[in-house]
Amino acid sequence: MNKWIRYGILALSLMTFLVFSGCSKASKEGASSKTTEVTLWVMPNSLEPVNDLEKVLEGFHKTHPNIKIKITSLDWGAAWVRITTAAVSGDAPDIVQLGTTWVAAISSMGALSDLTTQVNKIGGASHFLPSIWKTSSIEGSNKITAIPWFVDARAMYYRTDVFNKLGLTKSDISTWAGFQAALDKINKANLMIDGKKVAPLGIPGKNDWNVVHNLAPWIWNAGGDFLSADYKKSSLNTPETAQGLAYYISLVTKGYVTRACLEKNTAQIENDFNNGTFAVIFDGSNELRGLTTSPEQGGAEDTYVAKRFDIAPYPQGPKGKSTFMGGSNLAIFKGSKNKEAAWEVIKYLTSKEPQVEYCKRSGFMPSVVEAFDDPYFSEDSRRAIYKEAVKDGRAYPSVPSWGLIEPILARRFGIMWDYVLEAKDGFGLTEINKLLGLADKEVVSILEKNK
Amino acid sequence: MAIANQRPRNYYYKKYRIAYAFIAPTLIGMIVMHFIPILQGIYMSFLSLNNYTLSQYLGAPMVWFQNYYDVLLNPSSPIRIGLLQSVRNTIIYTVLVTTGQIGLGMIVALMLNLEFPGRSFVRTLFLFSWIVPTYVTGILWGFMWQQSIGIINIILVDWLHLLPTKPFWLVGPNTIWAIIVPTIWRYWPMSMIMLLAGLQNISAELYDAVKIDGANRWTSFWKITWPLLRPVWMIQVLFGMIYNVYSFNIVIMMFGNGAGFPGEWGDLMMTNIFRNSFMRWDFGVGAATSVILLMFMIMAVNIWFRFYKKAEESV
Repeated sequence: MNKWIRYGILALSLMTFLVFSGCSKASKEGASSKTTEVTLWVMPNSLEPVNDLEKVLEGFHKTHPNIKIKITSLDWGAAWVRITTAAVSGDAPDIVQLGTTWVAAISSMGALSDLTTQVNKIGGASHFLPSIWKTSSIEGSNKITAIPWFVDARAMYYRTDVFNKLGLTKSDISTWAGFQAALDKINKANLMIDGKKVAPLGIPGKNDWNVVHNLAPWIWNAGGDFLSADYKKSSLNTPETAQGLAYYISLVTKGYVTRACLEKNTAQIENDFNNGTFAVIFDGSNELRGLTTSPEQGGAEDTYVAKRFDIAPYPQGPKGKSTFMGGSNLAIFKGSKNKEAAWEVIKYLTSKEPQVEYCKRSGFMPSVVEAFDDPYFSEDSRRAIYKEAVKDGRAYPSVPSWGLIEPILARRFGIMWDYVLEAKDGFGLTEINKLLGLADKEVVSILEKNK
Repeated sequence: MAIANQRPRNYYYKKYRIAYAFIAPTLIGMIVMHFIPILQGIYMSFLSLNNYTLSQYLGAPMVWFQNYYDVLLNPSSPIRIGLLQSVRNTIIYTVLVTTGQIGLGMIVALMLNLEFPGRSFVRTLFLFSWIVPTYVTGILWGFMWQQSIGIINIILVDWLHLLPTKPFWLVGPNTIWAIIVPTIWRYWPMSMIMLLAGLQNISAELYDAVKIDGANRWTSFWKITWPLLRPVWMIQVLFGMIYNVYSFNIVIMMFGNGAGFPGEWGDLMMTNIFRNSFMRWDFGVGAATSVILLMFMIMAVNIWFRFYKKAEESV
């Protein structure tokens, strides 16, 4: 009996071995003839994120019939957590879209593939806009981990009908002093256009993703900054930073911004501008796409404002005229089994034609220098403003601690709008310095912890 | 005792085998979904788990009680930013929401306990706010609280003229009301339905008896209804306390879908822990804060249980 059991076990193990070895051989054979599926996570960069990207990738499929791409769209709100979890658990896609400010933090986890060799083959740094290339790796590191995909720069939108009526021109709003004088003129004119009272300026307040991005150009253009040049210290508690902040806040306290704006987010402010509530807003290039797209395609081309607006760069401050520049990069997870195919996808998406095509669909600006040669970026003088603005664009420092500092600053500057709203006798330098002192202490505590 | 000892050792296992089989799935579920994550959370609270060590996950360096020190005693630790405010808000929020939902639930339950045509229709109608998912509640009320175009200010100021000017609800100290009211609105039907079930169990004879003794409705409520419903509302207090201390969805959705900071008067413990763990990537400290909160909750439930036992004994 025992003998039979022994033979039985032997036969069973032999069969199992044969079955598995057969399987593995079959699967190996299958793989060579089968197509590779690359998984790609993106955020909603356009109205139909998956569809639009699939359209852009049609050309890729013609040249790479063996590579299939499975696109998943993640909400921005959930993306940070999903991507972090993916990085830790290993249950990650091949390619992931990363906000430029996330690159350093996620790279510091060691979760991303080193793409230096591959990117050098397509021209390396010279292929991309210098300002956005800085976000492709951790500052000071020579390992490229995230390839710039598109750029989100900001500029000023103003109503030409309001300006014409009051005799204002583009050059009037080219400096801080001129900008303020123009807003004052609009405020005093008490205009009613198309049945709506026109407030001079619309800016989003605290319930927004852009709390820090909205303040950044004003702080930078006053000569201030968030971190010191070596990124090791906070430079929030400086007179320049206070000056930039004071100017921006004064636009609210002087009554150029209706207080109701301060509880709104960017989308609501955009919507209000499109509906004729404001004379001026600051926004990304996707707003231009919105105002030049038909309502059937989700745009606001039919509005009164869509036919009466122009775009100008940020007004020149005492120390500069930078705009905030963000955007998104593409990275390959270290755990990806399809690294070569994934790189082919990224290479395609960062080549000229797909760059232009994707920008047309998303409204963002390209990250690749030669894409700007396309007439699409120069034939509309308003889009050309963005083409210029990206040259002066400034991104946050690509250091791992920035991802941790930003939520702290978003909190502190969010509270600032609470205080501005409650302040009975204005919100002057004393209050601003107090606030910056607190922000400085908080940022220092993060820097100390992450030394 | 002697008889029990004579029984075979596995007598009870055999006798209640079927019961064990029925309990097993829940027990396994509890172990997998609750106990293991709790133990893991406690373990994580001793680790230095941040963006540099996240890829090592549970293998991150052990720092023992450093995270607890940072939460409780270290004034310059980043976790302390806004911590006390969120503790204060959570206490105010929990007390007011729990009281509000039981109070409102009780009033409506008393009304629905009366016989009137269309009673079951009204009862169903009242359950609607409970069906709405919490994140939808957050988004909806976020629109309704808006200062200039929100329906709440339109009703309060334009229609009823209760206030001279339209106040801000989503900015400044009013934020606490902006999160309390929708939570009461979301949860009161649950209290109402449970209290109503309790009310229907109270014998009408008791009310008749006190009526003969000359009691009015007010006295009969406090002498009969309230004490007899004590087990029901005490369970509600327990649920309310737990739900509200761990409240997250309504707050996070109301202030820009997680984009913004709810403000000094809107931040709760859960939103604070979420920010520190998932946005600032300090999972160790986040876990330590959660464990401390868990300890407080265990203490609170214990105190509650003593009162409950007394209440049960008196009934």
